[in-house]
Amino acid sequence: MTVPEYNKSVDDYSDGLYRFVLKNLGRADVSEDIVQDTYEKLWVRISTVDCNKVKSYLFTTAYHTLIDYLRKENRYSPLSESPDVAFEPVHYDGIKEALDKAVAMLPPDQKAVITLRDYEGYSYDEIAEMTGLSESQVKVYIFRGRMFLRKCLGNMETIL
Amino acid sequence: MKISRENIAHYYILHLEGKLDPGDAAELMLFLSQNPGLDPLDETGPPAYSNGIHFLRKDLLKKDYQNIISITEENFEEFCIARMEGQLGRDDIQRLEGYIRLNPEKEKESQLISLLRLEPDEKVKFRRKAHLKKSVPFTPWRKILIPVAVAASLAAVWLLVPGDDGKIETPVVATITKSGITEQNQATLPLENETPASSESDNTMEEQEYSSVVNEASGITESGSTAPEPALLQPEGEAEIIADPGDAKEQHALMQADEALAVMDSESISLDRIDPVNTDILLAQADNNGILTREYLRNDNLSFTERALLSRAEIVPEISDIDFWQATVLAVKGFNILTEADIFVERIPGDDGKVKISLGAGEKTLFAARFRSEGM
Repeated sequence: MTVPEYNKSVDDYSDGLYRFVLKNLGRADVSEDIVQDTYEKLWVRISTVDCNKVKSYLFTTAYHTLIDYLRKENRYSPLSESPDVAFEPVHYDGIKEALDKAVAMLPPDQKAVITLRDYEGYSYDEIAEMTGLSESQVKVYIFRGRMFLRKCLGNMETIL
Repeated sequence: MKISRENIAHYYILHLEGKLDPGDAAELMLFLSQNPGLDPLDETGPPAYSNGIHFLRKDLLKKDYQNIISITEENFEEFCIARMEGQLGRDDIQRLEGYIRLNPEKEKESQLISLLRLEPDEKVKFRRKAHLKKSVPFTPWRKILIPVAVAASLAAVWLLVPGDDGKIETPVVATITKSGITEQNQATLPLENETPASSESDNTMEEQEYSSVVNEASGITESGSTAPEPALLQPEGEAEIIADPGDAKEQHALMQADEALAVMDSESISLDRIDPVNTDILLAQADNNGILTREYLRNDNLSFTERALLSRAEIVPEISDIDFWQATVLAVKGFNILTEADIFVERIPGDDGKVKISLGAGEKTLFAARFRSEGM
């Protein structure tokens, strides 16, 4: 990978990478640090990373940095089970607000795979490669995550 | 970290234990993606209780949505999510739509699930891009040098070498053609006789072969200057210098074509880099009077032109009496600036007391040079 290719990757992927990390962490300052740290790691390995796989490298690195951070903060549950939340009817101003609040309650693994899937359009096997999970695990996490979001949102009338 | 099939189990276990640095974890994932089917824990072997026995009918047990006979209240959400995820076939989608038609109260629920897809907020931007970007020196040449580095040619015109014994060697022309790359230890190799290809070769000429490998510590020593800094991209290859006086006029003519930039001198040294594919195209040229360029001036590469002119201004010497050694040093220096190569010259005293010339290149490059000079 050349220096111009590296700089292009900053232009092309840093925004998406930041959104991915921010959605999973919810803290702008830490998210920015993680993105910066991810690119520093890429820079160190610039000679070994294939420019065609740089996006995958960035998201993989960011994902693992994110999980490491959550482990240190004791916010990571490796079981990746959805929290047992009592779904009381709540009035939201719109679907986006409701969804944002529901996503914030997802376990880290489920949140990460769903954001990789929805934000970046990665396939199950690509997400499996990035996260180190099996493809079946990825499918299960996404399914459980969506079911959890569905329950969080409640009835259509509650939201609209 | 260098992951291989031999050590992947070690790194994979560290990864499972959460002890792997995120960058290394990313490298591990990339390695696994590049080696599909590789079991990272295979090295450890199957668990002791398994005795290598596996159930072979897993795939037969797995089910698809089409195996579900009917859509019900219980599995309706699952079907909706599967449709959203693109997991349903055409028939299953039709079944789901049929179920919704029969149960209109499910329409809203179906719509709600379709809204569960997260949308990135495009207004959220990463603000530190400028901090991440790296500067790229000599960008135009980096692009140019990649194809050029495959092969190159150099020509030296009019070499007047004052020997240690005061004798003057007559002008010689050297043409260098790249043909490959070999690595050798730094040494001056014994000479090897070989007839030059030129039809105008002089019978009185003797052939001598030198080989020099570049070492960062070595360089131009006679003039007191040091070897150029290693280039970002170095030409790689083995060069062959074949003396051919017949080229002298041709090279001289080429230089005259650049009259607007060249300060011509009858006793000058020039180094040419020629297109490896079409050897008629001169890509870059330098001489002891400064840098001459041809193709890139024509190509309106302004940034390059400006740099070439600037470089030329920096190295134009004030030479009243042409000294071969100084002229060569300046030509090589100009060539290096122009092409980001790091060729250097060494002054090697011959057994006969005369000074010989040896051309070398960067630390990865070896020039094996056959140098022909006129006899005593």
